[in-house]
Amino acid sequence: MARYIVRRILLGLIVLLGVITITFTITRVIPSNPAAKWVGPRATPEQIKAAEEELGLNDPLPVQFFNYIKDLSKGDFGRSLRTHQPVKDELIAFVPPTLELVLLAFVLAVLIGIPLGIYSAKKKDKALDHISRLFSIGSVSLPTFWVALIFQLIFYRVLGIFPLGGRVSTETTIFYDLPNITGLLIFDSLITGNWAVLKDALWHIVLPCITIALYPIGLVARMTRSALLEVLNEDYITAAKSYGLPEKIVLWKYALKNTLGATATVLALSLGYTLVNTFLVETIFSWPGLGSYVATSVVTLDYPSIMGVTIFSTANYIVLNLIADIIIATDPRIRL
Amino acid sequence: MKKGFAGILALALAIMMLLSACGQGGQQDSSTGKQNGAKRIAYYAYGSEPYIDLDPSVEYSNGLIVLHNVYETLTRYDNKTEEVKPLLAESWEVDPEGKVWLFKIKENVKFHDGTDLNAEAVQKSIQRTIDMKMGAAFVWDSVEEINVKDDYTVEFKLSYPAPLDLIASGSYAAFIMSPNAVEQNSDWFNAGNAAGTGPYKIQKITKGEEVIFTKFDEYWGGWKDNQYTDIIIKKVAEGSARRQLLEKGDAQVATSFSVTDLKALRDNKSVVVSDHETWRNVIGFFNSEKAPLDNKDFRIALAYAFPYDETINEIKEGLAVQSYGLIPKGLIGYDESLFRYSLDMDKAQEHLDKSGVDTNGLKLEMTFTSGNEVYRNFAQLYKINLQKLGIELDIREMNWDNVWEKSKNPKPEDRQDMLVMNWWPDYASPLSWLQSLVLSEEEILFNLSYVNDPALDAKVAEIEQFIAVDKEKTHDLIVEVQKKIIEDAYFLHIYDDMSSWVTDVHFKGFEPNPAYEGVVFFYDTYFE
Amino acid sequence: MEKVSAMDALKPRIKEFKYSLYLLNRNLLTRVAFITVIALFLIALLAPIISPYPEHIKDEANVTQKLLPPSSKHFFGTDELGRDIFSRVLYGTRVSLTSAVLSVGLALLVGVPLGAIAGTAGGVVDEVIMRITDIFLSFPPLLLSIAMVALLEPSLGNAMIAIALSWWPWYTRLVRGQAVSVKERKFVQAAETIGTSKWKIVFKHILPNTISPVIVQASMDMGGVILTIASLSFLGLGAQAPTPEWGLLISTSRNYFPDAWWYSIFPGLAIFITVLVFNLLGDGFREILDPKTRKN
Repeated sequence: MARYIVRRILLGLIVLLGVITITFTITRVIPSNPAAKWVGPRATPEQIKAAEEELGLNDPLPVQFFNYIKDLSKGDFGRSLRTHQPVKDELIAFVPPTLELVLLAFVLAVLIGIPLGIYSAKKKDKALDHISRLFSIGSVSLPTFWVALIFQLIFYRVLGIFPLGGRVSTETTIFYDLPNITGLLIFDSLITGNWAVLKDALWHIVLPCITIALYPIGLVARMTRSALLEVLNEDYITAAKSYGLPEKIVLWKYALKNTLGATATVLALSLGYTLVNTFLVETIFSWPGLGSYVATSVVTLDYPSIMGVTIFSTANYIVLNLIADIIIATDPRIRL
Repeated sequence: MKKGFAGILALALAIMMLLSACGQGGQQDSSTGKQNGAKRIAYYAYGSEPYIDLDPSVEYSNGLIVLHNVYETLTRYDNKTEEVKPLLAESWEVDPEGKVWLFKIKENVKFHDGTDLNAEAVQKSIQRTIDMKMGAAFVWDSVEEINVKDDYTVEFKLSYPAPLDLIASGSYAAFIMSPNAVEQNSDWFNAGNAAGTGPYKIQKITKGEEVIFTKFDEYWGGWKDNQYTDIIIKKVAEGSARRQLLEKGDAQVATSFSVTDLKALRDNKSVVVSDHETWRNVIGFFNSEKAPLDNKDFRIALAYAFPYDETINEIKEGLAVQSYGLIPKGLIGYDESLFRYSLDMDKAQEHLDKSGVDTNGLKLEMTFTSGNEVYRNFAQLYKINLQKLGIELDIREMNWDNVWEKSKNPKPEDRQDMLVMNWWPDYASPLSWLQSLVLSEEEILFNLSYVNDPALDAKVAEIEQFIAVDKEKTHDLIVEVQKKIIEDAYFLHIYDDMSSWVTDVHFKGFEPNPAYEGVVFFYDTYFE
Repeated sequence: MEKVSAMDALKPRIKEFKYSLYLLNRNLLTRVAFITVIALFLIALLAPIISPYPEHIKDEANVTQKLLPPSSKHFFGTDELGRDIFSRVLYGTRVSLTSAVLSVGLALLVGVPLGAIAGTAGGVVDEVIMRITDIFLSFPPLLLSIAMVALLEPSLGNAMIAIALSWWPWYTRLVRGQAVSVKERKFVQAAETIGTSKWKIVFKHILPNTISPVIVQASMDMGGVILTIASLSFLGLGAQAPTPEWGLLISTSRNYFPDAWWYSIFPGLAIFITVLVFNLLGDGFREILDPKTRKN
């Protein structure tokens, strides 16, 4: 087992290096003028020359790649061409809001998805199972960016009960000092006891959070349903049933326990997808997270930032995959 | 189980209701703009990041809206009188050749860090900007050396004549900072530090989000009771959110609204909507080095096929004016007697026939920076018109980098056929259009119609020489240049843009200045 | 001679297929989805005939009629240039289905041969190919496509290439898995012992055997691909105006949102319904092909 994990971690590192190489190559091969961007919108040839020197763009490509990897190993992602700030600092500023959103979305996914899946499995092929199936497949078929717009239309424009976007309302930023310990605003205001900020922050996170949660809800529900169905067909459950154990106990004590591994795996895997989904949703809800950041970086071809986000997200994805694989490896019952 | 699930749903619903209720409750006791203790707060809801880089020598983007309230320049351009006015410089003089400039610096001016403004501070600030070679530092390219003559006199020696009084009033790269700040690198500024002479000090920044100022008590201009003591400039990306903030009286000033938002705001008694000309114009560039666009008559045909009126009246809803050549209103060389092409498909067909270009299977590519709704719309209308001439227009929205790199391809036939972008001046002068878009270039930068006409080059050189000394002559020369480029149809002169500002009725004294687009000089505003 | 034996070999498969169709038809949701998918393909095919204003796709605009709410003249209202949104949404079906089919096709073209090679050759070749697929699969979905198109010039074609580029590894994995298991089967081993060349085996035995799971997988991926294309276009990285691509329509509609609500709602519904029916169909497929659930 330990050997398997070590092997997997090593493979993960190799894969990450591959990802870095691919993105680095793509960013350097395409026609663009990083030095001009560093200087500003109307860079003169003389300014560009100076910037090329400063940014080390005159070095041969392999040397640049080596330098990038060297810096990266020290945690230095380079500087954004647009803002001239270290990409690391920008990631530190933009990751927590996204993390907050994704984590809450996952709490929702578990709270709604698992019961929905169980329910669906229990009533297999009944009308309610169809409805729940329709719901869970529907939720993964929705274009999230569109859902975000529709939510704004309904809850902001028509009903007026939720804000259009942002992390807190403007009034709050004016009249309160926002706590900043972990960067997770809800958590920070909770531990500092800043109730007004907490209320406002919760109020703002509802719509983006539900939008993002839709996809994992559907996924978790489907996974729970099929895992549960599979387990319910197993002999020992049939045996337990035939011994006259109450259905509730069979379901909770035996069946459900055995589906948890599968559900956890799906959750871990869908986190990567959700992270990218937030990219589409954040700009619509003006959420100051990684998504808004990468959107601007992509539009301006700010490749140190694009690489920073890619490496960060990919590393996350690899780690989550690793966790999922380890769960699978330790739980032979799970077949995906 | 059924119960459990319903229970969770009910709970979730209850939480949502509760949240929405307290959210609304939390909004009440908020009102900026009015006196709040000793503070009077003005809030500027801005559509984008308030700044990109806070280093005044580097910033060449949105940040002017922040920097002009914190730092000051030697001079400031007054768009009302169309003259340069003193600011940190009391007066200035220039030798007849326009190559030696002497600026007398105002006395008794303090920087935020307590040091005094003097000639040395001015010399060091400008020198820092020049040496860093970032942003708009190129506006100082003519400067050979900067000398401190005495405590309050600075001398600029130029290698060629340039309107230094205008350059010193520039929207970028002309800020004067304290000698202590000059020693610092960009990171120091971006950490929220600043030391200018401006009326406001930076109190707090949130990267990419907001800047909060508080008044500088020792500002040389002094303070009155009804001026704003605290300023918030905050990114509010969605137009509807900016509108709502104004309607509720939370924000005092905002701009960049959609037509529908403006309509609603114009009916609102508690805000004032005003439309203003800007110096930003939208220009189409024909690739005059590539067949068939190297054919003058073909270009004229294209110029006649453009939907000018529909663009201005329908797409821009009247918030733009069709351009008279390159130079927008309010700058030397603007002239309403210049010829403007209008949509005329018959004339277009006529010139197309005259050009002898075979349109069979002809495909033209138009590039511009993606995400610009107005460009996208007029391009689609243009496409329909050109289709009637048998020409297929391929609309290509790309990153600016892709657009620009393509336009700089060494082979003219590998470049785009048409390119759309906007242009604005770095300082209050028409030179920017002439030098960047018309003057022939050895290495392609912004002359993206690839105009290469020695007669025009000579004229631009003459303009450079006269601009600081003879306004009338300059005007006539610029009109001549424009006549020629209009006649040869190098460009689509689409429109000069306008901006709509919405302000709270109590927020007075604000006049947008096209030389400093987007800037609210908060010191000039007051509560009434 | 050869043909007859091939037919004979196919017979049980045809029977299986018929049984699958029967199962597919038995489930109401799946049946509805199946019919809708066919209808969508018909709409795509007949868009020029059934849309009320086919000239509004690229030949005509009427700015004085802009942003009109839905009416009997314009079922879905009009857009910012006065074009009929209903017609544009109908044409959008054509754009989405074609680009999805092409993207998936391209991914298959790359993924299937690589998978067959990896599975058959084994050893170092297998290792190298599979590590490369690992790298591609380690990019969070969509991110690779976003990066690719952002760096290339945005266009529908490049979006399709980018999607194919992030999708092919799934097929490689699938086909390799199939190939490895087929390789173990008696008839392949028999072929090997009588000296049939390895590659002949690949083409004659392994590839045909992997085809049906690949087709199922590909049809299940259609929904995801359509969604991805729409997302890329929404980000301005896909179709270019005036192409009536759904994601692009929604992205454009944001400028007039929320006042022109109809402009955002209908293209979004079109995406939702299309992706939904493909996913339902895919889910139905999975259910009937899963030996566990197939039994009963």
